Amino acid sequence: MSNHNGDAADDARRAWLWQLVREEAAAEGVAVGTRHLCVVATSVLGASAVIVYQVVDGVRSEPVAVSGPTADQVSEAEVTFGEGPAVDALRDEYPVLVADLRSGSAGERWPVFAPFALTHGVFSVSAYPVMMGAIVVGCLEVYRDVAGAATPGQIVDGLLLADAAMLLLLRAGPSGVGEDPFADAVEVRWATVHQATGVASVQLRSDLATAFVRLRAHAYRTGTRLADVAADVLAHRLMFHTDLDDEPDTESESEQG
Amino acid sequence: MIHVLEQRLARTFVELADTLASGLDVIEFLQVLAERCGQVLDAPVVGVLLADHRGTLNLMAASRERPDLLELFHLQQDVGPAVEAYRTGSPVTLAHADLPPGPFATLVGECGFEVVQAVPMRLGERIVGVVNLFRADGLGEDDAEVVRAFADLAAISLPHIRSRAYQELLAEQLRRALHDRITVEQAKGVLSEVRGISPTEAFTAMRVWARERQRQVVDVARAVIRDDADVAGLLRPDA
Repeated sequence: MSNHNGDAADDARRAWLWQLVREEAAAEGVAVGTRHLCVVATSVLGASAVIVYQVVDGVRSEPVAVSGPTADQVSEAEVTFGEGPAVDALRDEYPVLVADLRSGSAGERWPVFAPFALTHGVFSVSAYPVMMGAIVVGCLEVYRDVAGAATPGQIVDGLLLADAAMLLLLRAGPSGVGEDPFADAVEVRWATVHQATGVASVQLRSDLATAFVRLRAHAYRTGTRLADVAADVLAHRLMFHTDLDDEPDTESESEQG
Repeated sequence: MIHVLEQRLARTFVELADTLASGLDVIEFLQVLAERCGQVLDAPVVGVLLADHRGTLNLMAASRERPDLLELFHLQQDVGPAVEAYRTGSPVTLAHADLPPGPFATLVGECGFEVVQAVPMRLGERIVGVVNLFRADGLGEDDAEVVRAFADLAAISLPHIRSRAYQELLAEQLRRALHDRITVEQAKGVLSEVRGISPTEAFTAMRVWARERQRQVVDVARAVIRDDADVAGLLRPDA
């Protein structure tokens, strides 16, 4: 009976985390970016470094935001070696939690990455895939300079922050100061939004991530809720076309009766 | 009357047990469960909702898929019998007239439903989701018990959760199931647009295809999204 009360509190926790990310950006007077998410994640998760990776061409991923002194070197090495917790999390579409990189199993799993990370003071790693159904956009990776398992609370925070990273990475073009990149957070849980994403991907002959960005861009430009745009797409009141323009930020959709 | 109900129930639970025994396709299982629950209890709409790591309810299966009917579930993000049942851990049954005024109550009225019922899905101490029914008429005497049986069955169908006691894995396993559902929704959109059919028809086509080949619905959904050669017959049956 105690646990589901904790779940209700998670909703408040999500709002609190996103508020922290917004404040971080507001303090700099710039639009919210993955960099701010990294800073918040580092302090909330008690980490020495946090990295957000983005999938760039459907296969490769690269770090797009890092916080912490050694994060640059270690995450670049992970991409270069092609092995490590983030690589596995992206491939398996499942979180990878490593309590101690000195363990035999970690050494066997990542014979190059594990010793390299240890020499740079990284002793434990958690990697959360950033995804929405079949859309895998990146990974949120957390380095700690002490060994030890992530707590259930840290894991929930990691998942919540990975969700926030998804909305930032699949943003509809460069956002302005004060614009809310998390505005669609509730509606991305609606079944109709995901169906409409599939419909739009066929119309656009694109992947699902591109289609989702186009839906968001249209919602933003027309001041419509994402869920309402989805309903219009499913009813074929709104059609997307490939031939007009590829830029998600321009008027490339046409309304049809 | 009770006789008919008992017979229907017995048949239904045998069928559901078969579905469970034949593999671990949670999405297909919950879909069949929602449909049968609606048939047994004469409820026009039944949904199965799972809580995610944020503690919010996500639709995993609905006995009918019209967009306005799906909205019945989506509108219960913060208020409504489903959320109440989830948060309190107790079944909730409310007549339309007793619903707090708002978009949800309005939509329930527009759809012509008289009673909304929500029963928590329990896994040990934890509430993992809700079975949510919309009905055109009042409740029969034994109905609450019957719904609870469906809710219990829905909960134990989450096989990975059952076998692992760790709370962190529970959060992650639930998340896996929810992502699988999202993948299926995305594939429904793709298939419906390619073939010029409704998302509901697309879902049925994927389920039939999966069943005939003994594959999981979510695997077929991924193949549809990737446009794999082995689902060419599903995507373009006339080609």
